[in-house]
Amino acid sequence: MLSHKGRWRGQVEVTGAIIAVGVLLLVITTLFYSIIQLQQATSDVFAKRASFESERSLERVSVIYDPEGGLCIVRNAGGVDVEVARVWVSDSGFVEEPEAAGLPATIRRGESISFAVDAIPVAIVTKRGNVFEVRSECLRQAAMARSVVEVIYGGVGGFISSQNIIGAGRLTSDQACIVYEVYRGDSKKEDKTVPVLVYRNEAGWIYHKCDPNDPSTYGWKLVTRPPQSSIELDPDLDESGVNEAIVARNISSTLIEIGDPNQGPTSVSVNLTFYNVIRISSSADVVIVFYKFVIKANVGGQPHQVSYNPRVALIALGSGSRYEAPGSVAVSSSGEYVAVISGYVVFPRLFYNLQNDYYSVEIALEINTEKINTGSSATRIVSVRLEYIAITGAEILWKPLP
Amino acid sequence: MIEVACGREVMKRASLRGQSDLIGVVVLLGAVLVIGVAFAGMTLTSVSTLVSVNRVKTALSEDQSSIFVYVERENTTHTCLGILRIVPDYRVYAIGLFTSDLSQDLSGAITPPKPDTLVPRTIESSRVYRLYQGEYYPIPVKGSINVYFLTDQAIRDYILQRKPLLVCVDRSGLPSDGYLVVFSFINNELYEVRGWYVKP
Repeated sequence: MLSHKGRWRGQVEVTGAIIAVGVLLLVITTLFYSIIQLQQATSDVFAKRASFESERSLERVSVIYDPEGGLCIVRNAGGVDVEVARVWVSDSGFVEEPEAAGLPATIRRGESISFAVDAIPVAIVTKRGNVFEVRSECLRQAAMARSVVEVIYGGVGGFISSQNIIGAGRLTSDQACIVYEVYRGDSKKEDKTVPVLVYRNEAGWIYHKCDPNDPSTYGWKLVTRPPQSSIELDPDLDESGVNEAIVARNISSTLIEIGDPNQGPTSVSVNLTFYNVIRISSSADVVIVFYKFVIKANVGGQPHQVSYNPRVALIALGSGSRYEAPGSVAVSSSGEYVAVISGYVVFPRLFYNLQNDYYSVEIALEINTEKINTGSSATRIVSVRLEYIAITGAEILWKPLP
Repeated sequence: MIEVACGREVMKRASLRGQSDLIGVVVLLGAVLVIGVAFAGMTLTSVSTLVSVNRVKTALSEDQSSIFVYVERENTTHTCLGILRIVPDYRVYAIGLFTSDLSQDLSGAITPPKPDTLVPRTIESSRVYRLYQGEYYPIPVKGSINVYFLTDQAIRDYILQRKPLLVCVDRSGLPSDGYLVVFSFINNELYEVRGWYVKP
């Protein structure tokens, strides 16, 4: 009977063992499967990410400016086809259908698309997350082409001279805003009586007085008080054929220049800040700011010494960073009392670590005079004028009026 | 007669012992089954939990590797970020904006350029987790937070099309550095998978 009972118990133990082994097998299999699945999924995703990064780095879009046809040519110069996800047609507007911006949905390897300079989109965003700033690059090349021609063959000039920017409507556009400060005398106290910047164009004398926080003050307005006929300023002091922007005062309903021949300041600092005038992108290696001032001083027929210290600063509007450098000076004279100060400042982007941002450009000119002979009369500064500012290597944001 | 009687007695006793043995075996078998089933149940529950946790980890690991954030456009007031999932898959995502230490909700500065892509929603902060050194911790915001969920249409038009979704941040409304977070929505909870700092 004992053997009979033991057989039953043996069967029970075997049954229990089978259940236990089954459960253990299930647990081990599930865990193993789960771990394998996790590893598989992780390695799959990493492999796809590596492939994505590789393809992303192969995407290249080159932009070439054709000066003969005045065209911007966008070309897929990369190793993969570029799938266009979005096209920025302006700084704040985009389209998600590439055809609406004149682009195919896929730009094949080696394929080129031509645009007129004013019709090229601002940026092309690809499905791999690359952003190609095509307009700024094309405008940069176009600007470089023009400035080279003007600087070499024109002698004066530059990308935008005051004549050009006003003639083309750049400064009279809604975006134009120049903030200016004048400090007179050795104390360098700010002269609050200098309220206007004036210029003469085809319409007559126009003035500019801007507050960056008030867009209604942007641009230039026609001078109505005093009457146009009563303004006796010389629009082109150095007789170069290019009118100058004049730092003037509106006193007793009359426009007069910064100083008087007999009582004008002996030293002056003028700061001109061109607010939100350029955008620097990574496509530019060097930003160069050219300038030309025309100064008139009354030296009273005596030997005189005048020093000119220009400096230029780029002020990033996003970060507030300021990048400043002293400018070069080339002085020439077009008359007994008139000095022409021209020069430039070079900002290598990588040296200054200029970030992609919107920038204001500040140009400051400090003028100091000294008497050579104690018996001679003091030199008085009469006029401070800006003939042109030229900027290359950056996109000019002040669009001309149509 | 005596032998016959003895034989019957022995048979009767043997029968009784057989019955008690059978009952004992049935009881033992029942006990083994109960214990076995309970053990199996407990084990399967733990394995299921483990597998479920692993699935969440797998999904989050996939999201961390698949979601790609980049700056698409920037001007003086706005920064627009592109959010791209490199492997198309139907997943639900949400976007939030916080201070850089994630202690304050700044989602009011998020401006969706296309109104039908994001929908605002409030969620308890206890169900929102930040990623720190590979581990998830509850975010230090008390109460509830506001986030923008991708709409079903946005998931279909962007995530499943492997196309970057555009999200803009109005930097002029930021009191300090902002941190835009892309959350993955799993089991009614939000888990950070990507982030991007935005300076005011």
